[in-house]
Amino acid sequence: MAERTGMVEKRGSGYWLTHVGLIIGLLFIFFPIWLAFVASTVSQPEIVRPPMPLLPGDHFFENYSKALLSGINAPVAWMMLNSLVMALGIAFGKIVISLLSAFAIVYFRFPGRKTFFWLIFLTLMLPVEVRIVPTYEVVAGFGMLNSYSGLIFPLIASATATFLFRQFFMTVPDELAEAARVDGARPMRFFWDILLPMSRTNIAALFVILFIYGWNQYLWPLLITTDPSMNTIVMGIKQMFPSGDDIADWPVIMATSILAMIPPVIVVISMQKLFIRGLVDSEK
Amino acid sequence: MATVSLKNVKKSFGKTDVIHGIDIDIDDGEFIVIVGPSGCGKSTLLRMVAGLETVSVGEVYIGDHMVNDREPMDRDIAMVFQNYALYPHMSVFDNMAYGLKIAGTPKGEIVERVEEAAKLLQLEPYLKRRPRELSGGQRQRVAMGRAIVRKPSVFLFDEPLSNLDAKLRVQMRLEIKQLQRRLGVTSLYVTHDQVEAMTLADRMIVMNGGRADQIGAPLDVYANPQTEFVAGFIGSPPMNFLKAALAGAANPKAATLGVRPEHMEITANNARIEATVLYTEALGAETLVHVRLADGDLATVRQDATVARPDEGDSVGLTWPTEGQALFDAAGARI
Repeated sequence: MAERTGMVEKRGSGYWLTHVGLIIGLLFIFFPIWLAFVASTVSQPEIVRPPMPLLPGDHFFENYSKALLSGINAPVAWMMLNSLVMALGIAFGKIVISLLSAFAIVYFRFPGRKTFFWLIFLTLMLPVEVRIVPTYEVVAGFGMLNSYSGLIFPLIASATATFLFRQFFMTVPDELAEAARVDGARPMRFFWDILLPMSRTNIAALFVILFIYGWNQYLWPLLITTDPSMNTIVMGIKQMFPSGDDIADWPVIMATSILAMIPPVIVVISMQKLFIRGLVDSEK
Repeated sequence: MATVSLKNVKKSFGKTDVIHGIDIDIDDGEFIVIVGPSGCGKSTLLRMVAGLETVSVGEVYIGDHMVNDREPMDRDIAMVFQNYALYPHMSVFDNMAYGLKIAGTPKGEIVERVEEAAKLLQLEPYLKRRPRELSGGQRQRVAMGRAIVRKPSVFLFDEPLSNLDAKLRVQMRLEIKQLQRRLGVTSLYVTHDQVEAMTLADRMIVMNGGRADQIGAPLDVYANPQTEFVAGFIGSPPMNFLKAALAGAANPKAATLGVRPEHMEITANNARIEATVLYTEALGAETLVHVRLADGDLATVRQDATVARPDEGDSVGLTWPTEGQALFDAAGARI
C-alpha cells in the first residue's frame, strides 16, 4: 500500500504484534463455538467417545434438519419464530414507546413532567428479576401466559432508551422546533418529519442492542411459557437437556445452539453498516 | 405585505419584567431594525411578534388582525434564525419547500416558488445538497430562501448575520437590504451591531433594559440621540461624554455633555477644555486621537488625516461647536 501521511499510524512491528495478539484472542474466543459447530455435525456416539472430535463430521444436514423440523420438545424453527417475534416486538415496542415518552418529556410542559421523568429513571434501577413475581401475577391475571403479548409487554417499557432519546432530543437546537412551528408543523408533524429522521442512527443503534436483549431473554420466557410451542430458542436449549436418566441428544442441542446464534449475528452485521454510516456523517 | 403594530407590549417571565411597554406602528414595506446590547429584550420582542413567546400585556397587530393568540404559522410571517435552524436531514430544496408542503401547496407550485427563490439567492447549484455541505453564507441564504418562498407579510430576522465572518457579514448585509427592497416585505430585524442597524434600517428601535429608548430614522437617531444610552450606543467610536460642569455647559440641570468625535477639534486657542494625548490611531483617511481630560475621563477626537497629528503626551486644547453638543440630565435623558 502506498505510504500515507497524517493521522494514519506507522506500520512497525507493533502493527503485526497487535494483530497476532488479536488473532490469538479471536481463536481463543472462537474455539468453543467451533467445538459446538463440530459437535452439531457428528453423531451422538462420536461425541460421547473421548477424545472429542475437532473436525466436522458428515451428519450436518441430518442433525440440522432434525433440530429445525422436529427438535426435542418442539421444532427449533418454531422456537426461532417465537424468539424472533419476541425480540422484534420488544425492540420495536421499546423504541416507539421511549421515543414518544422522550418527546413528551423534552418538548412539552405539563404538570408532573419532572416527576414522570424521575419515575421512569427510577425504574432503571429495577431489573426484571426484582419485579418478576408481581409481574408474573399481573400477566397471569390478564391470561397472557403462553402468549406473545405475555412475552413482550412486561419487557417493553425502557427507561434506558427513554433516557437516551431524551439526551439526544436535548441536543437538538430549540430553533429547529421553532422553525418548524413557523413553517406550520404541529407537534406530531415535527416529531415525524424532523425529530424521527434526525434520530435514525440512534434508533439503529438501539435496535441492535434491544434486539439482542430480547433475543437473549431467558428467565421471563422460562417462567411464563409452559407450552413447548411457545418456547423461545434460548430457553428452549435448556429445555432440551434431559431430566433423569434420559440420554441427551447432543448433536441436536449443539445444532440448536448454533442456530440460536445466527439471527443476532445477522442483525449486528447488517445494522453495522448503518451504524458506522451514522457515526461518519454525524448530523446535528 | 402588511403593517405591524405593537400597542403597549409588555413581557414578563414570572416576576421578572423583561419588556416594559413598547409602542410602534410599522408601515407596509418598512425595514425596522431593533438594536440594543445583549439582554435588552430585543429578541424577546421579535419572538413575541413571531408568536414564539406569549405576550404578557398589550396587543400585537399584523395587518388588521390582533394576533396575540395566533400560532406562528397563522400569522403570515417568516423568520430567519441566528443559527439558521435548517433541517439537517433535508436537502436545500426540501428545507425551503417544507413550509409550503405543510400548507398543502400543489407540487408544481412548490417547485416553481423554490426555484424562483433559489435563483434570487443564487442557490440553484446547491438545491440537492444537505445543509452541512454548504458554507456559512450559503446556509444563511437557504434560511432566507425558506422565508422568501412562503411569501409572508412580514419577515423577522433574529441576528441573522452574527454567525458569519466580518467580510461575509458586510456582503450579506447588502444582499438582505437589496432583497427587502426588491420584495417590499415589511421586515423586523434584530441585531446588536449598530453598524448593521445604521445601514439596514428605515427606522430603528434602540432598546435599553426592556424599553425603547428611541425610535427613528438612523441618521436622526445619530444626530439627535434622546438619551445618553442611545448617544453612547449608536456611533463608532462612541460619543464623548464630558462632565457638564467641567465642560462649561450653561444649563444648570445638565449633568453630562456629549460630543461626537467628529465634532471635536484640537485647537491652539479658545479651547473649551484641556486634555492630554494618550495615543493616536491613523486609519488612513482619518485619525483618531485618544485623549485624557483633566478629571480622568477619556475622549476621542476624529480628525482628517490631513490635519497634523499631535504627539503622545502633548497637552492640547479641545473645542466643539455648540450645535454639535448634546446635554443630558442626571437620569440620562436629553435636555
